[in-house]
Amino acid sequence: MREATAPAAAAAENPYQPHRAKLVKLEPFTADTALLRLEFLDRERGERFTYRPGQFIQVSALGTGEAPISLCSSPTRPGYLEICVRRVGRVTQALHRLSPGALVGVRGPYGNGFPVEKMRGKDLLLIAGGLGMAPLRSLLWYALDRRGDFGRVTLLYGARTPRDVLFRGELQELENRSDVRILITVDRNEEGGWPGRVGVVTTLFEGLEVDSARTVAVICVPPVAFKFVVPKLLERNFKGEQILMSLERKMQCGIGKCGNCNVGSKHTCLDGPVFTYWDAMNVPGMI
Amino acid sequence: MQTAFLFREKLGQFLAGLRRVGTLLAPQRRGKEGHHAFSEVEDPQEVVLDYTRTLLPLKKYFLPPQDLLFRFSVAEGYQMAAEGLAEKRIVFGVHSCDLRALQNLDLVFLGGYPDPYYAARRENTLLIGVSCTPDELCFCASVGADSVTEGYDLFLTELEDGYFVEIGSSAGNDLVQEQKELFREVTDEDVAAFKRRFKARHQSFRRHLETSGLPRIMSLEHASSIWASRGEECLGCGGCSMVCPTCYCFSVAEVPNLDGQSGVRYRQWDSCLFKDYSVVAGGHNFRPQRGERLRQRIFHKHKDFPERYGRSGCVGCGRCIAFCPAGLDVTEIIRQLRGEIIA
Repeated sequence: MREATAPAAAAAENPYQPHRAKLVKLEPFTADTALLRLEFLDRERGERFTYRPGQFIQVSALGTGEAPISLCSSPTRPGYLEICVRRVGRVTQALHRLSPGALVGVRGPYGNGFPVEKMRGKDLLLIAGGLGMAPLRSLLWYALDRRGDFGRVTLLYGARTPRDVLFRGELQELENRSDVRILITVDRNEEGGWPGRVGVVTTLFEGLEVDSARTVAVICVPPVAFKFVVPKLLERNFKGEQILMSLERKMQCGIGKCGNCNVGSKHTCLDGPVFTYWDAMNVPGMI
Repeated sequence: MQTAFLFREKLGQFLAGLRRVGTLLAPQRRGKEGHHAFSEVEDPQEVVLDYTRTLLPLKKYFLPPQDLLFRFSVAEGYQMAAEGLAEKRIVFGVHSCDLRALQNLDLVFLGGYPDPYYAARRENTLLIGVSCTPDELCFCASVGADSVTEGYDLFLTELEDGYFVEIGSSAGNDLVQEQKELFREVTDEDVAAFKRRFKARHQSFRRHLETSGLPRIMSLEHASSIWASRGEECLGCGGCSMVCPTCYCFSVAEVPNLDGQSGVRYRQWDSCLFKDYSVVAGGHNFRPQRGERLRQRIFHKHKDFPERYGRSGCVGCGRCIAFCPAGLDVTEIIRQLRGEIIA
């Protein structure tokens, strides 16, 4: 009789295992969205954890489950992880109820992230809509912390109302810097008090100077908005591969098994969430 | 290829011997309508070798319908649930389509980030295949799953007075050696009989799925109105996914105990036919129409899986046709896409 062997894979780390991390800061941005700063309890794990802008983590709120959430901190600022969490489901509601000092589970990072090596030397045109600001904030800080690696950096950001503008304080500070263009618009300004532009994010293209030949555009907007933003780039002669998009999909595992995030032969969790517009042209249903 | 010949009258003894190696699982009769199911063998006499297809395929032993992943507590965090993973099992009586399907699951669950639950069960389970006779729903020969040359420990082909045994692994060889008095060496006559049997079986397929250029044709028919019209017939029950040996999608659920301090996280079978399969937090559904969801499933089997993994995502077992309550037939839908039949 053969001995049952110890599971070989058990020796390796269980990829579904959430690792304990402490919530060190919870900063409400809007009525339903907050910035959470996390630190791994295991310091060594925290030091080993490297990532690229555009990657995501699976965050567990004990007792409610797990959700895929984009990192909005930049790997150029190690020691902690930041996520921008909107209260829309069970897990995110639970995360919002936590107080500093509480423990959550974290595994990752997952996904391809933005191809920052390929983007070196290029101008960056970041186009964010709503919560799409979160992954682009990671890329924005990455570019600003490695300022010499990139050409002109421009952020176009559209929020619903002035109250919904995320990272408002730090973006306003960046408006004063001469080495980055920050353009923010709100869809509606019914309550008044918004000194800036009003209109959907595409209105920020009006009069915008962009040298498409040397620019990489990065779009992170709600699913319905891609079809409005992409034409603005195409009419400025952006090629399919110069347009990067970070996509949202339902995910359970984050590691290419559960199937929920499949689009065509791609897994959003492994092959994405960053795809080019050329990918989207060839995979119906991607955007 | 190592081979042996198992005497017909010794089969029961062989099965009894297998029970000493580990838990023996094999097709047995279930219910009154001639259905069969893989289940634990108590009495080797109950094992059925000439079944057509079981309702549920082998995946239930490697990806259980509900699979406990973690226990959690406020004090300990998430602790891997590992019980049962080291259980030694032998699955006897597996058809080549189901063996082939497991190889597909291996590509997903052992590749990339290996899944430790699946990997442990796979490592601790021996597989003994058995030849079959195709019925009117089988089209495994169209998708290269009618014959396997790997992925089994033993494979039995029934001949007149016994079983021609192909030995596919060292562990399979051990099973033969441990009861070698039940076997004899294969003769030239056995080989001739094996070839006759193989040819007869190959000629008995009645259903065919033309796969040449299929991914390209499907690509061109992505926007076809066929999806919406066939989607009208689909009930969205997800039954096809449950009975499919290569469907592996899962969702994850977390269930707290009443103390609010502890609980479990498990995964369960999911289906792209379910309406909420692609719904993200906030309510956006990436595939709101049933036709889109039906297309997703058929695309995944016949275009997306082949593109990603280099082999068909379908093994032609016929289960989705046999058990669809709406009578949908993937081979018919594909002939429609190819323009060979008009709906």
